[in-house]
Amino acid sequence: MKRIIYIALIATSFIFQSCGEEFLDTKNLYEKLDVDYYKTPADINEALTAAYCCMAIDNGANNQTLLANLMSDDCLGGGSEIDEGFHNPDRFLNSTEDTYLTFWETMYTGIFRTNMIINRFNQAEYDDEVAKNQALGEAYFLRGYYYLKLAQFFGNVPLITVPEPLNNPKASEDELFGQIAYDFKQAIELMAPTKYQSIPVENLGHATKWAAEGMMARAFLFYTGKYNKSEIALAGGGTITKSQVVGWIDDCVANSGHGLIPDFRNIWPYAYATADYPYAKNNNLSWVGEEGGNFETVFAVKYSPYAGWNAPAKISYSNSMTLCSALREQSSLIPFGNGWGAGPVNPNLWSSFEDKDTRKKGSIIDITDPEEGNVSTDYKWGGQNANGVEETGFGQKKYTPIVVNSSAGVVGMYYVLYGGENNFQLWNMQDEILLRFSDILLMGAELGSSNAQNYFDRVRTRAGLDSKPVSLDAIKAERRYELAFEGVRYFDLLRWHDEEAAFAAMKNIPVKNIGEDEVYNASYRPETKGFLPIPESQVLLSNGKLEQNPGW
Amino acid sequence: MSSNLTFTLNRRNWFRSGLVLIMLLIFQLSVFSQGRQVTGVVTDESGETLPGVNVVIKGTTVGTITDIDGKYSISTRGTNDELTFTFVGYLEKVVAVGDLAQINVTLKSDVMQLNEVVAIGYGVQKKKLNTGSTLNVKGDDIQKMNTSRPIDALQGLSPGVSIQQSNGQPGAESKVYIRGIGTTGNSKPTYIVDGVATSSIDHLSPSDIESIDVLKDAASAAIYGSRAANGVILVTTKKGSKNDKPTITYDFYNGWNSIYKKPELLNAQQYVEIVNEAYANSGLKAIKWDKQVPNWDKIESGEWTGTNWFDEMTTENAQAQSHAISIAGGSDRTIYSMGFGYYKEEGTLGPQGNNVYERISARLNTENVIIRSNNLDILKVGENLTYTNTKNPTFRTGSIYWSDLHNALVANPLLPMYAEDESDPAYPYHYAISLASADVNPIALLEYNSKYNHNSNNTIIGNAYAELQPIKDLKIRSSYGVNAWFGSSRQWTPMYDLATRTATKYDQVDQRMNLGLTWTMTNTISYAKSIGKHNISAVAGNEMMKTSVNLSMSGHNENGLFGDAEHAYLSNYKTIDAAELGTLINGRDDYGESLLSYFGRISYDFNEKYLFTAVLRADGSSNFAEGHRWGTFPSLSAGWVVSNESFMKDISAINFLKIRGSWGQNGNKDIKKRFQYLSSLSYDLATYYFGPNKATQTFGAYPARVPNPKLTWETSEQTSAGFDLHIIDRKLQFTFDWYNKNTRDWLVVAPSLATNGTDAPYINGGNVQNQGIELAINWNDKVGDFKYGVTATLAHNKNEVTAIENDEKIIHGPTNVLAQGTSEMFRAQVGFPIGYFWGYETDGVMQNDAEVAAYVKPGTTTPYFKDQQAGDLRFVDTNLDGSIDEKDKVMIGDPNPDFIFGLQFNAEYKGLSFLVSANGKSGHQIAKLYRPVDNVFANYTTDVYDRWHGEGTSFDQPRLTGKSHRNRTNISDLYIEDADFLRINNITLGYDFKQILKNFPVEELRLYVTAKNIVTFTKYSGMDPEVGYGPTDASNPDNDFGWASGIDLGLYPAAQSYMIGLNLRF
Repeated sequence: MKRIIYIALIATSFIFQSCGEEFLDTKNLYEKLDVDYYKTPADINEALTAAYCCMAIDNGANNQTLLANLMSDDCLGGGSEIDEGFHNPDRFLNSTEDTYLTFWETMYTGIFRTNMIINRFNQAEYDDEVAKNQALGEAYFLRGYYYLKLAQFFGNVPLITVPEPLNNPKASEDELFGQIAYDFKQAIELMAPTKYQSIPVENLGHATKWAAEGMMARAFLFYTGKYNKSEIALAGGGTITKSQVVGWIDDCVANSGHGLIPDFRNIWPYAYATADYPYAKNNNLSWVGEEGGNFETVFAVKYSPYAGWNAPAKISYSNSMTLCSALREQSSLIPFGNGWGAGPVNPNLWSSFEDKDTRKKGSIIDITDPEEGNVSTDYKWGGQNANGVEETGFGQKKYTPIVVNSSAGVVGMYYVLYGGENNFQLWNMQDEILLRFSDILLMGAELGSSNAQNYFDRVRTRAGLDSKPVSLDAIKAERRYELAFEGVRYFDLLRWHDEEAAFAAMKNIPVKNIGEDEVYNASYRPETKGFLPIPESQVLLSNGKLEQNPGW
Repeated sequence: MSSNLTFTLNRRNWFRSGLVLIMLLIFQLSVFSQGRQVTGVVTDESGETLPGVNVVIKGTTVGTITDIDGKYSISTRGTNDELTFTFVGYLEKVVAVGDLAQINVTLKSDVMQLNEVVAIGYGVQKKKLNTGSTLNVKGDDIQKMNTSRPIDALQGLSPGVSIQQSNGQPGAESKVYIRGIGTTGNSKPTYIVDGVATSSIDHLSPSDIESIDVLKDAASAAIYGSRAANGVILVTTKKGSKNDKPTITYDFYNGWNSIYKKPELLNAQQYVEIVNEAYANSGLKAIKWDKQVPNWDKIESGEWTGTNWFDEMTTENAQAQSHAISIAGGSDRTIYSMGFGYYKEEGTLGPQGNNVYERISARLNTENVIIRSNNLDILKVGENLTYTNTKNPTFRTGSIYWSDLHNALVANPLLPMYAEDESDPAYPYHYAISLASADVNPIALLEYNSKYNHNSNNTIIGNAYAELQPIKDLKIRSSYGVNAWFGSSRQWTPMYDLATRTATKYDQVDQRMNLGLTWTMTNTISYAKSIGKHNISAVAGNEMMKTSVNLSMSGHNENGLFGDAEHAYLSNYKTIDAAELGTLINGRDDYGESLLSYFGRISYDFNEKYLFTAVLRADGSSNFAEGHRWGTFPSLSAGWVVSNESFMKDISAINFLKIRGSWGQNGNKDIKKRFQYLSSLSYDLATYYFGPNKATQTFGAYPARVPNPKLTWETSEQTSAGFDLHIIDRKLQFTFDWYNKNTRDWLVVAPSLATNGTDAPYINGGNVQNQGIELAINWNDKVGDFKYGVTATLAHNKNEVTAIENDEKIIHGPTNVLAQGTSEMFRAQVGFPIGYFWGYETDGVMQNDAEVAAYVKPGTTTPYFKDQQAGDLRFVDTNLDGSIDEKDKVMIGDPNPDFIFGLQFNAEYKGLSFLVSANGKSGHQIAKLYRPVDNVFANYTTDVYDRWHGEGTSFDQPRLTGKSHRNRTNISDLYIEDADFLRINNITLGYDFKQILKNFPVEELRLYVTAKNIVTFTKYSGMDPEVGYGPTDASNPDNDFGWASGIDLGLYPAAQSYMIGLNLRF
């Protein structure tokens, strides 16, 4: 019996044994703790990298450049019958719920990440003051950039400058641009005036003082034009005047080391396809590449061979704007690769170019032109699945997949250069240029720099054209030709208040819908003031604080 | 030869003794001996002696009854006599006398009777004293249904338990809900196998199961408080019984499976005709078939009718085979049960790939009395252990992007399967044809993705325990349980080139392995005491559970040294190059999840008449932050056995009546992403590419989420009431239950403002109400030797989301579900059933120009669509704002059935047995689309002939178009169908040849034939009205919509099977 009692006692002691709360403690092995972070230059670099990552949008049809092209008078909608993602921006419709949510969300994700950096930056310890200022300057640059994109596409949006979940109503345009200009000013003042050629090539893709100067000009021009203002009242006091902006542009032109690539066409990837592409061969083109030789690009989104649909990859690691903008579903028409046919080019744009302008054939594919290679003989209207719409026979050449013959067959040129997956949906990794030196020159001319005529002529001369007296009308035309399909045209129209005239001219354009002849008419809706609808779910989630844009 | 040898076996010599027994039985045939006295003791399974048992010499009226100590003594006539032991509430037992002088017998309680006990969690209880809504199914009834997965046998037999196949692929897990879907998170019930929590019971062979108890109401499940919000399924595997000779059973069946209903696809000629019509309708130029289709002359002449891709992918009479051996028995101090099972099933689809499911399971359960004193088993130790190995088929079933069957349904019939010569880049298969150059040969794709893709998954689930009973009323029990898993998979993908968009540059290898262990330590004290008519029992305990290892590793690489399947191991792929070869290595160990619990239960009854139970459980979970970890879950239940009242004694019509009621709370802690309470930095999907080389990655980090330190338990609160009524000499039994279950504070990621800039965290953010009733009716009777029974069950459930904690009140479903390019089609929204279908309502097809002219915006003559024409659908402008847009979308269907019902009839007559069972569902809808809306060249099913093609030809199916058209790209009720069905799912006819082979040395030799899934009565036009599919992506918690169902993309249908089987018992 004693034995039984002992056993009973031992057994009982097991039960209700003091099992402490620490039994429930567990560690997160795959994430860093916030309290230990934003302290070293390495932390800040990682945080900045994640902020840069938001420039690429994980939904081809929401890409900033593609959207702006589709909305502009340079491009039609295209794609297939059901590609509402292309038709909505083109036709100023909102046929699907949350059409632009990915874009909206990605911009605010970038803003949140930069807000974190800016708000925590005082705890970061740097030995190198220049590097410290550069890092903070980049954070300000990115925040300014993300707000500028939102302000251009959506008009008034909530302004949040702290890393906290806030349900803010829309800010006024004055508040918004006051913040945007403040951020760019910080960026300009913090970052060192290092010449492009002196910046280590490893830093390609990082924002620079020069990029901030250019973006400041872009923001200034948009705000003062669209809203009829003469200067920007800065957040926290002070103003940005036109002469300040001109000063920054002149500084950029004089000191940045950026310049014009002698042949405009060598900027674009088709210049690489000299072996298979008659036009490139005949004109002795030679691509400048994206490894440092392109001193004309002031700022660009970088892409890679790591795109995919599933983690750890994502689609926005590749340039899906290029995929979307390809001639629709053509196969092996070297050098033009396969894609979805978004944004067929307005034939009026083609015909308005002077023929001797090297940018005409340098920017647009005419499918009837034998110099364009197989396209002229083997183009299939409607694409392989015979479902393409709004085809004009013109495609844009700046951002279109380039394919070449290689040991692996006909594959993407970037795939040949950098590897990745042998998949036409993933192998596009062309830099998406957000700011080009010729834009800097034209903005300088428009802002009334003392060098206006010189700036203007440099752009024209490079295109093989003669000098012409600088005037707003001349600049408007020049911007259209120089910067076609680069996502700036539409916002130029808005700030010049030229959008209604431009769309009025976009009538009875002959197109083929699934191979049948029809006509296309622009369907701009002035009541929208040119802005996109706020994603519906966000209006609902804000419980009415976030008001839908007019006209939507 | 010792006289009691065969009845007091110990574990060491059971096998030898078994052989001796068989020899003895054979020997007996030739021996004749004269009458003499036989004595013995009759006990029940727990070892208690049974007084009053009838002991009769079979075939005579000679008999006696056992005395107060369970002893008997009877005078037999000779060695050929057999003794029959019968007692109310127990199964009859027949024992041959032979030359034994002492025959001790253990009687097993009869499942049909009220003395049966049911598992209630950390203990058992007499069923008649149970106050909750529980359901008990015996292993024999499970085995009878011949399902490959034991849980499926409950279908139709268990009101309130919804069991739905996800798809008909062998080995596919079923979706199980108890009393409705309670959350958008994990709504699976908790499975407890012999005290060990598991995620399913598919690892068990049906023959291993002694019984399954389903705890449906909160009070019953409350003892598992933390894990009981979705109900608890308790599984008891077979144990031996004391003083019982070894029973050896062998069960075998072979089945032949075929698809019950095939989709009828158009052949080449029909297809051409339909595509021509579609093109003409859209005003498109006719296709030049002769230029774009190979062998056009043969199609035109009718010589070749094209490829029927579905038929090519189908296997007639796919084989299924099951072997199960079990041995159980016990001696005075030891009981044991062991089982071995092998199951193999070939899929009805995809013979070109790996379509075989295989399961091997081995089980060992033993219990030993270590200390016995004064007839009291003071210390017992034992263990339950099951090892299972499964190999799953790799035929792809899932979304439109991941389904071999869907590929076959949409593939072009004009594409030949095989190439004519080796110059075809896809040789031996045929390359895509120029007409539809993106449409890939689905059989080739199936082979390349599945044939060289194999896996092996192992689990070891079990426990070891010790039970101390120092005095009669007190039990102290300690148990250590393990749930361990380890598995691996390996896939080789050859280099292929099937179409311009479908080609690989190199051959590829993928290897994966995982292993893990969750252990559970459970300690309980239980006490039971009767004082006069007051009976009280109590149990208290604690439990610790921890996942100590949860390791996974995987690698992917390309361009192997050997380039074949046999050598497809990562080590044979030498070049590491993330950009060019996609080299990828992953390794992580997500260990550390833990649970700490304290619990107690007190049950009291007065004279088995008034019954009360109270339960309290407190759980701490590592999923939540300190201060929010603990949840406390109380419950109360009561019952009144009315029939035990004195005033009922005279009402002889009512044999038994119990009224039950309960209230309780249960918890749920399951979240798919841990550490929601922490503010931390993630490195996922934030890479950027600085510098000159695009293949140089720079990794970024960002705050992973808005942290939610307040996150805590999800709670389901349930009130339940019911009664059990037995009348007509207990032949007719009713069980009725009503419940109201409110699941509150869902663990859910509710969409939050995008301006937050980072992921929304899990919040306690939603409520759903499930209300319903359950009814089970049993009739059992015996007419002479003819025994028969009927069981009918009916369950009704109404599901409604009552709160979602954000301002939108919606949790959205994904896009691109029914087809590429289609919008969101299901959601969880306040005021609607969970996962309801959301889209446009249509008002038929416009028949003529007059109707077209009449389809105008309210108060105007402006048509809704500029291009509307006869044959188009009229979309309903529900908000009358003059445009058809998202604002007009409404609920167009509900995949949750209103009623689930079952019916089973069984009969036995002199060894002949017959079973027929049926089950069905009603009041729910399925969203069906077998054809993409964005590919004009996809094939059609013959349903296309219902289209509108002229006035009066169709009132609901619109005209065909050669371009994508809103008629079909819009999600509308065009795709929604009622899916009520009644399925006769099992007919079995068996005969026990022991009846005619009396001297054959076995106890049972039953042969049977079974037909399964014989006929389905339904108006649903798809292959199978039972569609559990909702988009889930286990690898990405953000894309896991387990709460959705009823979406038919051409999902693997359940097979119709015929089987022949054998049950052998020694």
